[in-house]
Amino acid sequence: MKILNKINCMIFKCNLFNLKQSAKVFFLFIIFVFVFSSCKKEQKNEEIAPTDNLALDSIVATKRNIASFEEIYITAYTRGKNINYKWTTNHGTMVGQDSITVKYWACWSCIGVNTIKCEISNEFGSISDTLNVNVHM
Amino acid sequence: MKTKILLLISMFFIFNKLIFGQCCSAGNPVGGDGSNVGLNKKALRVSVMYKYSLSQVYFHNESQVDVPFTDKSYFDYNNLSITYGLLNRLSLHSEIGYFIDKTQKLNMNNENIVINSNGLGDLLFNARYTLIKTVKPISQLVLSAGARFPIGAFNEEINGVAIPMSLQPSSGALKYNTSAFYSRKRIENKIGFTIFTLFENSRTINQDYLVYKYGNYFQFSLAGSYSISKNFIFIANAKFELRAKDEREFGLKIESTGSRVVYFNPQILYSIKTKWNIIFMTDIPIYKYVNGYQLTNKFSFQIGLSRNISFRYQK
Repeated sequence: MKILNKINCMIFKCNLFNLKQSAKVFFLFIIFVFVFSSCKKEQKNEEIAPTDNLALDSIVATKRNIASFEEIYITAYTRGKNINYKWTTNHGTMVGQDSITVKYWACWSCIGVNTIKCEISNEFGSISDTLNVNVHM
Repeated sequence: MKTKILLLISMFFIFNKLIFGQCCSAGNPVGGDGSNVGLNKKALRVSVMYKYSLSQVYFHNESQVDVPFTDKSYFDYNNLSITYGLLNRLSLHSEIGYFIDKTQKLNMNNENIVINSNGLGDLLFNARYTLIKTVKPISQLVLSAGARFPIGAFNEEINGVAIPMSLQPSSGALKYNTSAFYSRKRIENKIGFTIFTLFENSRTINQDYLVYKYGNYFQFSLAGSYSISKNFIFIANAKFELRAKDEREFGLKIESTGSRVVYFNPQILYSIKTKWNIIFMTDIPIYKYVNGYQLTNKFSFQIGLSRNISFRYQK
């Protein structure tokens, strides 16, 4: 109780917090959050044509037509050095297995034709490709 | 003092975060602070809240179903909200949350899989207008409208692999909401009641290959409060939630989304010298109907602290 009272006194009874400041705090709070979020925008590498420096030859799945919660493995075959991989999907779940393979499955709310995208990048730029997997009950 | 009693009774709505079940995770708190309690001019209220939610049970329609794997989904969530009385009948409200931990633990084919994320959630901003306000009895009717902005983390990944949408801290969608709140209590009575209704509509997420629209959300709550003592109030709240099916590309309805759930959430409020308010509450689902198959909420609890400050008589 004493601690709460002390905090109360520190925050609200001192002169730091008057009426004008309270309104400012309210709106600064909103502005701060907007600015904070806009700063998080990702920088994208420029997409390039495939060369020996960087190429995504194919994306291969162990199965393309699966039931819900059935697990498959998707592998990206690439050329180049120091490649970073980025895997995304519009529906379903993926877990990385090794540097070039992910495990994929989809729950009941992900039934349909789902797109898996693999984007690779290094100092020469980036390349992406997609693969569709049909998920049924 | 009378106003403070009304505010105290209304406090439970401040922390009344809503949870909706999703197929793959515990879901997101949605729908704003759920209250619409109006403040007097030049009054400020700051609230912080912590919430834990666990989803562990799969349902098909009204029945629990066994699945050939274990799936546990939970989150720890913090929330900060600020409300300011701009005019006598008009208040502005804003809030934002942070997921300390949003996790899904699976055991599939004897392999343990853990997927988790953390980060900033959505930002809510709304305006509240007090249409009716009386002293005898103490009553308040407040209408509200606002939006929830998806400013938080929605591109979280683990080792270059994006985590599912349902585990992202932000919902990813701009959502509009409107609500009405009514509270009434006779001064001489220890018992009061409140009614709250909320409607939320989501815009379509259109990001890369993801086209997704959350279903419309409707909530109706009816609560009775009982003043145990000067500082203690017990609230029994019944909450009905209705969520329509989500849609994906080409307006395709997703079968295993949408639900009807009734919760009982008892709450205890404690005020310290009518300045600080502490609340503890739990959400216990007592009836669930889900479309298709979905992971549903088992329970959640939350604890919150708030402070009301009036600057009206300050120099």
